[in-house]
Amino acid sequence: MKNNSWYLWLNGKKIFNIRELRENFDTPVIAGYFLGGSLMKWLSDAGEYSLVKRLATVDINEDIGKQLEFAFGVSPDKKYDKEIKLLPENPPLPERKPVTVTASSFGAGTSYFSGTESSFLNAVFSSETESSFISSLSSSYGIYKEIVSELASTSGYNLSSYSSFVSGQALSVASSGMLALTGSSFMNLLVSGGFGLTGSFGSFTLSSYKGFLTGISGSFGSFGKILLGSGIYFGKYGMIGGSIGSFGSLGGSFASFGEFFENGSFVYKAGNTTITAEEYHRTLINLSSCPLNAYGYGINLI
Amino acid sequence: MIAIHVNSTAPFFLRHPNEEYLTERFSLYCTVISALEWRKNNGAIFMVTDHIAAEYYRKNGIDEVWDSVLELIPEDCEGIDPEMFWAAGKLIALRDIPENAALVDEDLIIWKKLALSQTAVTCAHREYLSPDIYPDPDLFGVQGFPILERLDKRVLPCNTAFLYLPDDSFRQFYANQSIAFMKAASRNRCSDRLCRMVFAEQRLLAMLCALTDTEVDTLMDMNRLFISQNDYTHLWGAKQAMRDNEEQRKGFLERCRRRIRNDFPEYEHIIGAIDECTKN
Repeated sequence: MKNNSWYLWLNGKKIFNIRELRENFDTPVIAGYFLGGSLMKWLSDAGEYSLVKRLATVDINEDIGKQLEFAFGVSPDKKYDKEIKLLPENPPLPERKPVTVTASSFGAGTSYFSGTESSFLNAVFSSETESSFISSLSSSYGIYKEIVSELASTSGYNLSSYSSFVSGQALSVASSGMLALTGSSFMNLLVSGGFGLTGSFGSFTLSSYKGFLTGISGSFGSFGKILLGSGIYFGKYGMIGGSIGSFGSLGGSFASFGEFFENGSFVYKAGNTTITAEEYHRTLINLSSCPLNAYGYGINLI
Repeated sequence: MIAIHVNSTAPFFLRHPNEEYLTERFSLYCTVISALEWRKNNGAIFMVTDHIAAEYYRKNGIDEVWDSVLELIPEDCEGIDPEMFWAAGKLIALRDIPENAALVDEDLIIWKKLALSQTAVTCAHREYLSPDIYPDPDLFGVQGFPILERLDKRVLPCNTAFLYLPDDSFRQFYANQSIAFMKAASRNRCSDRLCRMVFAEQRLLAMLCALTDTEVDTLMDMNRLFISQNDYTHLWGAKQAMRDNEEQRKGFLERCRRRIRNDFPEYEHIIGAIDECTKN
């Protein structure tokens, strides 16, 4: 009996030879090695050529596990001798239920909505004036107000620091190192057209905010436009939130940028993680230096 | 340290059944820079692919950016559905490479020398269990993958844009179980182009690491991916953004050309080769 140079992982053990395999026969895992293609190689490396020949007759349209148990001459362990439950073919993945969004529901703590860019814009910017947009923020935007109020009531936050930051002056942060905004300072920024790094992001007046969403704004494109076709998923704030999820066919997923700046505030909390003002600053630099960094990372390094 | 890029043409021919194989220009530029940077900082890198792509690279003179091009992927990906499992080639490559190597996605560039654990599995970063992306795997309704019952659904998936599995036997275990899942799932084809693939590649890896008490390291903190850093570039969703935005695509291409001219002047001729053999 020959020991292999590489092991199979069966029953929580590393298996190097045929005796150990029979003693630790683990039907689901061995079936995985068989379907995966390496069981034959392992058996060949172990010098078990008669078994290789026997396994070549396994019918993958029948119960592979039982055929393997028979081929190896082991009694089926009742622990793994389970009836396969028949499930419906191609069961649909759960769909998130869309909600109707109006200007008032925008601030009403809607957990998310799904829709196209135009449905979102129509919902929020129905009257398309600066005042309606700011009104929407100030009167309907309960969630944001709550968060900002909570932050404003906490001592130690320099709430005008963001304006200073935008105008190019030194960033002023609280002793805790965290940065926050008031509703008034944020709206002042919107009214004046300054938001983030002016000139790099584009100014966020009402029209530029719409453009920002629809991808007309040149420097950033559609930040909210993501993955699964034309749907835009927003969390509570509505700028970016909820789960951006994976980039469609490109695979992968990552925590949403909106979660990163949760609920519109510039205080990031997710579990026990916070980012400092310096990291926040570096993030804005990162995004402004290469808008493609909104969809990947480090693209500015090329 | 040895690395591999992996490319399977099966997904391309599913979408373009009667066409000649072509890659996208921005994609190939990123792949070339990824290969050249790896060779500069870390060691040898090989392209593991199928015969069609291998001929494409050789015919157009692109193959010299890798140490060699290895034809290990069958063109039909062993019957795995290329729509549902467009990255199946990566798992076949991991199973069949003759010696251990790091797997680097073609759209990932590593700008520094890596020092990797020789005991822990190293991936790019963890991911959140977003239900849109990672639904309960029982809902896939895959028959013939009974090990699923033993797996811990709470573990965070591993983004495999970078993957290094120092234990050859664990590499075989992961690759085999993943291929088994993809083959079993391929018997019930559907239009899902995301959830099943990321389960097979990324979530299953994390689950199997937990099952075997294998430690997982990451190159990056998943909570800090958007913070400026100098070590890694991953196009990820920017590929679709560039397909949608010609201006951004052109800007990116120009930067790639400048980068090759500046950092790898001996490969400047590759620029013309790439522009000739790719679609804009």
